[in-house]
Amino acid sequence: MNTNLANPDTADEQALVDRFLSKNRAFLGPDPEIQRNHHVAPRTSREEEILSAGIDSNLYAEIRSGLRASLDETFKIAEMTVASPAAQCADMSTGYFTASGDLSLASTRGVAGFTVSLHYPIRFIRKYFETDETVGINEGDGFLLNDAHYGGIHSPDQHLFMPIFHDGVIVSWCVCAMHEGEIGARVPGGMGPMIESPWDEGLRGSPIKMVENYALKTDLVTFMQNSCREPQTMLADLKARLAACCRMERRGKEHIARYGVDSVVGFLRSNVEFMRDEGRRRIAELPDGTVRTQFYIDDTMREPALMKIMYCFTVKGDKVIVDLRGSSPELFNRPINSLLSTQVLGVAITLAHHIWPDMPCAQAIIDCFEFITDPGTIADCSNEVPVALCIQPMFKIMTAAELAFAKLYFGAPVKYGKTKAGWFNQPAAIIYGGVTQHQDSCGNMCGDLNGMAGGAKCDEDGEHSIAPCFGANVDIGESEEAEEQLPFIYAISKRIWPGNCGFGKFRGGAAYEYGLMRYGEQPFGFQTFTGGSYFPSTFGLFGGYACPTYGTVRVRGKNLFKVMKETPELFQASMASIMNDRLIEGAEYSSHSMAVAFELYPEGELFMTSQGGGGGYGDVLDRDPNLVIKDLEEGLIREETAMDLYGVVYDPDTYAIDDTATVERRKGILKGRLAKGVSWDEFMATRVKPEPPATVPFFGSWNNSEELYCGPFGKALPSALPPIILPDPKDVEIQQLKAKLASLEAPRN
Amino acid sequence: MKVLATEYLRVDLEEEMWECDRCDHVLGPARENYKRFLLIHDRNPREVHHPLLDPERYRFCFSPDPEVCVIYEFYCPHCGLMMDVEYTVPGHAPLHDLELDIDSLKEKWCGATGVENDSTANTAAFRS
Ligand SMILES: [Zn+2]
Repeated sequence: MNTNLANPDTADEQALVDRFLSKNRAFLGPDPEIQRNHHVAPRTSREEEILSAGIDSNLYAEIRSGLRASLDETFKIAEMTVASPAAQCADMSTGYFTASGDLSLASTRGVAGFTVSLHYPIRFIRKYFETDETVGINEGDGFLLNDAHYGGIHSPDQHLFMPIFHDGVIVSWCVCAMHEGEIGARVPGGMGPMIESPWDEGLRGSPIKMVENYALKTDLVTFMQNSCREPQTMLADLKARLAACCRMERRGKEHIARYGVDSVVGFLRSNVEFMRDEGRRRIAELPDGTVRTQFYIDDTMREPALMKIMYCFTVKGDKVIVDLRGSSPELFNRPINSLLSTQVLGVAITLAHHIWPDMPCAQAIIDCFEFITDPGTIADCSNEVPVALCIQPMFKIMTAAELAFAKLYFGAPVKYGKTKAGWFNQPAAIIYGGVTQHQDSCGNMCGDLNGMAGGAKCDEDGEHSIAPCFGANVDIGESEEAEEQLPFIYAISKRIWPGNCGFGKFRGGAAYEYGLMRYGEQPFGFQTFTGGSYFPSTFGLFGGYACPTYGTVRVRGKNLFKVMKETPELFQASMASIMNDRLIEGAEYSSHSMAVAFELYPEGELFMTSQGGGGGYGDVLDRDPNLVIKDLEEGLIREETAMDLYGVVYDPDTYAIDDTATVERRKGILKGRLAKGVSWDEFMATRVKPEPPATVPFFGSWNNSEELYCGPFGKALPSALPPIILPDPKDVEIQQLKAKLASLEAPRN
Repeated sequence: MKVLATEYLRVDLEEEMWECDRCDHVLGPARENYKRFLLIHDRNPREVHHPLLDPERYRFCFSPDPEVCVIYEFYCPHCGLMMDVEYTVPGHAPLHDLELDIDSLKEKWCGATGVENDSTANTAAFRS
């Protein structure tokens, strides 16, 4: 019962003032004390009492198995009932948390990265809402979150939190987290190049109590549905998450009934502490050292740029310092910035997926990591800039951590996984939006985002388009299912093209190209938001090469269904053939970067792109010639690559290797290296320049400069960065064309 | 005792020197940046990553743009083995990517007792 039913309008003045001062805050924005702390919370007095009395590891193992089964069960419930295409491809996770909000256990399948960063909102809810009489936390409540400033990866994700009570006290939290996609942003799917301010990002859902008494509140659901392009998907997925949470809560209570509340609370906490302590122990075991990696994000999503992002991992005793200083300043009106919490999350996922695959995925495993940044840079941006594409810098820190620990572990006495090169690290998915053949409004992304290729390993090649860098157990979806629901066909589906992998002693996995052809008359279009069109995004290891660069290509101005019907021989399901042969008369062929703004496509127009390959491992001349020929036969590399780069001599008709000639050619290549390579001193004197090239705007430090380059805004110390507001590229082009026109119109003397 | 620091780079812990694991050439002091002792070649990325689409016709041809990207290749000065490649912006200094704490490395391998572990056993285990 609400005990405070008095209308404040009738209260006496002093009481009104007192109440105002004690209850009102101007704005419950993201709390830096919460958002900038990724460490495990201290034990509560209850946890201390339980754990100091001693623990029964066999009992805890039994509880762990039971709760894990519940997470996998609820994962399946949600997966089978969701409507969001990403979540249907398993871009989701379920988890149990301690009462303070630390993730203790996540579902085996899916993307544990979602649950990894959800201690922030639980702490926020407890700190600000528990004692707020207009909100409160009660049994059967569910809080919805999507704003990344309060936790989670990025705003297109939506998460539902439900407390688990025992005797009126919160003893745990359960969460169903997933990539929802459509959140009513300026562009379909919640991510895209045209997002230029936080106010273009759509729903800014700080934690909202959307569920009371285990039921969704119709007024809030209606508001949510009105605020996005996919009202039906929104409702279906809210229900799916609620069903999962209700079952998780029930299973949690069953465990409490069976094992006693202290055992469950003790288990949840001790599991967190185990992960924290084991992470620290593994770091202490490593030799001390520093590994540096620098990446260039080559596109602001509206224009080419070189945004440096600098990662320096130092192991010192039982600590890791992650230094991100020197990275590009934040861009005020481009979606490429990331919050510090996003960077931290990227490290946790990488450690769990790639370095310590035997460890559970939780933030606790990197409790011994500390982060140093320049606030106001793309690795630790302010709350005033858009972060819709924060996964760009996040995927970079994932590869940086992958390569750093590959190097730090190579010379270490104990390892926990295979050494391998970088996993492809870009969100190479086509985002679509418009009206479907079923007359539904929609805006979401293709499951092809998950088709990233794996990096080469120290003893074998990487796998082709196997899984995203952020989750091992997800899917890319079926083309046919997408075609049934959406007004396009996969005119090219999952075709490997030569050269799309990092070369080396072992090559990275290759990745596929795909092309969507619009079908039907309704308004419908595409966009992409991927980097790596000018500068490769994913690196190899120990002499292995990077993946290549990518683009988007289009065939427009012609209904290709008509061409297919009348002259089927003119249509080849290959991007290279279509674009290089240009057999379709009257069609417009064009290539673009991997970041293109949303555009509508009429029926029969074709939009093509490619997923990315993994980095290579080791010197190309160390590759077994038989494997090089196998690559040729499988269409993974070109003839020039086999002959000139790998130095293999073979009969071009039979592919029979000439072993002697191959040995000779490789010796020749080694000699050539000795002839063309120059010494360090000569290189520094002749190749290294004091300033970055002027051809493309450069952002970040240059050769360890203290000042950060700010593109067209000069350079400045990190503490005094100017606001970087870039002009609309269309305006720039208009100005250029106007100037050109004026010069042509000028009277000639 | 000698420890592999990368696929091709070895540290002699007694002498504190970097060595090439292929030809045994002694490169230089292990407390310094190993790249200082290698030959460096700045390579046009188009030589490695051939364009998929006709570069005369298309700006985005699925091959790195040499205006913004260069590959630094690092070779053993004795045998020519390619120990590392670095993709960077033309004119940028090579990155000091790996800086091992030699004292800590000695301690982890030889311990306080000075008893040597087998440096290759663990790596070999993960290669089988
Ligand atoms: Zn050598």
